Amino acid sequence: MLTVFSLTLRQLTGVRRQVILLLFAAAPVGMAILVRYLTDDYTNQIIGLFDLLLVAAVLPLVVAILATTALGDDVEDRTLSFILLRPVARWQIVAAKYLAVVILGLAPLVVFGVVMAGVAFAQDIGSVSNYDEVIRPILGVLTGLVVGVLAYSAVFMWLGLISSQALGLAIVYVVVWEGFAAGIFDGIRYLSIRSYSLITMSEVGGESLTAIGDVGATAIQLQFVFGGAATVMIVFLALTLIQLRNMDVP
Amino acid sequence: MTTPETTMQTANAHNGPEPTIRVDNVSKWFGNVVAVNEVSLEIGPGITGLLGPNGAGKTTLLHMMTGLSATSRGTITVLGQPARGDTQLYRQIGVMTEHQAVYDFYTGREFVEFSARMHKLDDIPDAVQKAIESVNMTDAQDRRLSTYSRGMRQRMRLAATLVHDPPVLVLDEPLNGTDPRQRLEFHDLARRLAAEGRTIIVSSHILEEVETLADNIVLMVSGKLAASGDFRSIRELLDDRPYRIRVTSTNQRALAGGLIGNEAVTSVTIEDDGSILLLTHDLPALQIQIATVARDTGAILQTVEPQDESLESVFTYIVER
Amino acid sequence: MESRPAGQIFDIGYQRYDGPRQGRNRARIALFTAGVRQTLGLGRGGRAKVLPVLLLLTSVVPAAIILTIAVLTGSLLGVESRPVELGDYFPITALLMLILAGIMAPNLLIPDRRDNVLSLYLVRPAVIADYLAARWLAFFVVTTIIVALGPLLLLTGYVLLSGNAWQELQGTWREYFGVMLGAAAIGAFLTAVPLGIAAFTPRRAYAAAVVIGGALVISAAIGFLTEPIDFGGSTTTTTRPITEEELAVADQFVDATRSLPGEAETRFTVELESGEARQYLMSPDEVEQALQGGSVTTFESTEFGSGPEPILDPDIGQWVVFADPTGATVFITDLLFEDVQSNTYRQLVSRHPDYYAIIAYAAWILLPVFFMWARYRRYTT
Repeated sequence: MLTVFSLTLRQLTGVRRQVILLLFAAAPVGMAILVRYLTDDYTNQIIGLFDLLLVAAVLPLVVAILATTALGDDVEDRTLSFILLRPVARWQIVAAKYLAVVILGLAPLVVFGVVMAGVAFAQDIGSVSNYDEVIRPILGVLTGLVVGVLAYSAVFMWLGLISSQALGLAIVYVVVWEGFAAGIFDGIRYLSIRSYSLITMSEVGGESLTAIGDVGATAIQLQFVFGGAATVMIVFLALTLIQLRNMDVP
Repeated sequence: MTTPETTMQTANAHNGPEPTIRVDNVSKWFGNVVAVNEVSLEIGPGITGLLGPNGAGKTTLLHMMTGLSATSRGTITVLGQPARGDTQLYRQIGVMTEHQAVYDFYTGREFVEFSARMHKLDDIPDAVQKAIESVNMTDAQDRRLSTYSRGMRQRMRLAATLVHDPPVLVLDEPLNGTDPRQRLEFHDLARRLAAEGRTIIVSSHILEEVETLADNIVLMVSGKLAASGDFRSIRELLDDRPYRIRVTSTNQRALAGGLIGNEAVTSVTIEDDGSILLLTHDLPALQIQIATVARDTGAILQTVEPQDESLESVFTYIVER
Repeated sequence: MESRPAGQIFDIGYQRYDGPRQGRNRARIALFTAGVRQTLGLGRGGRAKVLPVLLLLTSVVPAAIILTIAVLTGSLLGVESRPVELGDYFPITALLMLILAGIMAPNLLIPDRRDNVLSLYLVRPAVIADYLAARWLAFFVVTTIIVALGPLLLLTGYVLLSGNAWQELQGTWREYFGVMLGAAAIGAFLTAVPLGIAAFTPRRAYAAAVVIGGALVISAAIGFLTEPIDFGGSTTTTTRPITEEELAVADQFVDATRSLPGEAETRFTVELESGEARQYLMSPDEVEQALQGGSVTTFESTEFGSGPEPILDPDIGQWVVFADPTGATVFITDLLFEDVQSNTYRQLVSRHPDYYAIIAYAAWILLPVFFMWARYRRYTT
């Protein structure tokens, strides 16, 4: 399992891909810094950025670029047989690939997300240790990112295994379902990874992040959000495993 | 086409007591395309050459034998176990697929090491070194795979296939991209491995690559098992069989009469639809003389069609290219 | 068999082609047709047709929905009361179209490079510029036609529903040309940008990621900087009269059209005399429009994002907006349809003389084309 994990880390850390990822992941922070310089009411503005840019766009994009290729590139390059023709249980392969995607996706998002939260909530260097105003919101952003990355990674890894146009489909899904549909129909927020992530941020982050999760008419409980995200993760990991077992390997 | 199939299918490629691989009435189709059509065979220790033109279904059959693909119908067992389902079986099997693909960010040695680690071998450095030595790649082992030539890449992939010392080896087109010297080295290696009692399957679309190597040959043509057994005996069977040729002309009766008198012709039948079915053992002679006969009998030839030629033509193509 | 000659060559019917050979133009046409077939997935399996069909649906479905609602509510009485103006129709689909084009267009360039088949084109009487032009035009023509279908449907629907179709047609035939021009402007954009990026990425997925990711991130960022958005959720309650008819018009604004990145969101509630309340997302100007006239019911608006000032000073914002990839074509369609610039975004552009928008648009088309050509220059026979 460790072998597949380190192989995947190496597969996914090509220079070109990392540059694209870092550019995307750095965009919200750049915006946050800009906002802080330009306005006085920067905290509220940057809170808006967490949804608009970080959770709605950058998080799914970064995860999609990694997850759709985690197994997808092996199918496309026909190297999947190198890991399947070995005495390693299929679930270990899925787990190792998934873990690699989650870690590589979380790394830039967490770093830039924390910096962004710092830019938003820390009045000055001295206030960094203030729990309610700085530490707790940062924890909230972190947990929200973890929830989002865990759920999206599972969905997109499965997509990468079943389709050669997985990245495109992933993005269409993010825009149509997570963007349009979840915006129109309130009920879809129960089935939206974006809202899972946002609600987690606001619930864990406490007072200063309340506005983030409060976009719909109905309040969704944190337990429900965790349950939903865990269900998405388990279902799609299981689908990936089933597909890997039943597919004809090219 | 039914006669040769049924007679030859019984001639198993396998000679020993216990077959290593048993393919039982296996078919595989993709949508409407039948890639492998009701193939049954048994393969035992020694080297078996799987021959056939491109697109004959060799790779599909090998994929099913190694569990990469499911069968649409029929069963395949390897060492008594179903070929698909239990990944522990891969401790016993080494597979080299036909694609040239590798992880090109690895060096040659890292690539073999990766394979060894996936097999959880006890002494990885030793196994890796032995495997690389066996394909004579020690000198280039620390170069990246992306810098390798085709032949080098094939040899390193072979090393990765051999690293866990498996009793069963399935090699799909292993000689693609190799030069004559590498081919000889491969022959030596394969014979050595076979002499240790392993079962080795080598596929190829070029007969000469495996003619001197394989103890047995399995010949596939358009998804069907066309022949199997020892190379020479297949050839003899083919030479003994007459060629069947269908002829139509403007004057069938006269032409048939003329052909009966010709030495090259073994038998002449007029079919229900009025066409003439010829049997001949001497195709080149008939090709020349049929025109003379037609001229002499005043018939104008309309069609001269070889019947069920696929096996012959394919085999001839493979043998004589 | 002694009678068999040692060597023999059979004539198996191969023939030399002695007929006339057609020249470079024939090669160009062939490349163009191949590009069109590739884009539409013709001659290939069902999976290859998914994306073109999605593109078609993106173009047509909103028009169908708008017309259906118009028919059901029966509110469409003449040109004056069109629920969605033609100029406003294009922005509705712009982002989704860019996404789909970002996935589809790279298929025209990247596989040819990856499989090393460019030289096969170049041994024909065609040069690399012919190849690029043919691919470009093929995608351009296909996307232009698909993009045009939606607004054409909408316009035709308006004409047919207007009561006197013939008279209506005489008044609107100019608009048909406008729609075609607008579609061509969008088609060129949807072709130039994705193909320009596809010229540089080794995998189709990377090209799609850069196009789509870039579009999403840049347009969200620019929208954020230039729109006066405040997530504090200030509530202003206004009590104003509103007619039932205007309420029906308001009903037709589908919320989806308002949730594009970079658009201001105003959530407001209309309370009817019956006590029933309805919620809408609209821009302030549209609310204004819907409320002109006088009648009976009241209206309360909760504005998310009506902060007093945009983050970027409008003097800077008026330049920054030109960098928004989802906005570039909207400025052109605004010019064509002389649209009321209801959106802050478009208001920023309208601060400039018209030709600024045209120059910005031209840059969006010409720069990618130039870079694509520069990248392919080295492929010569």
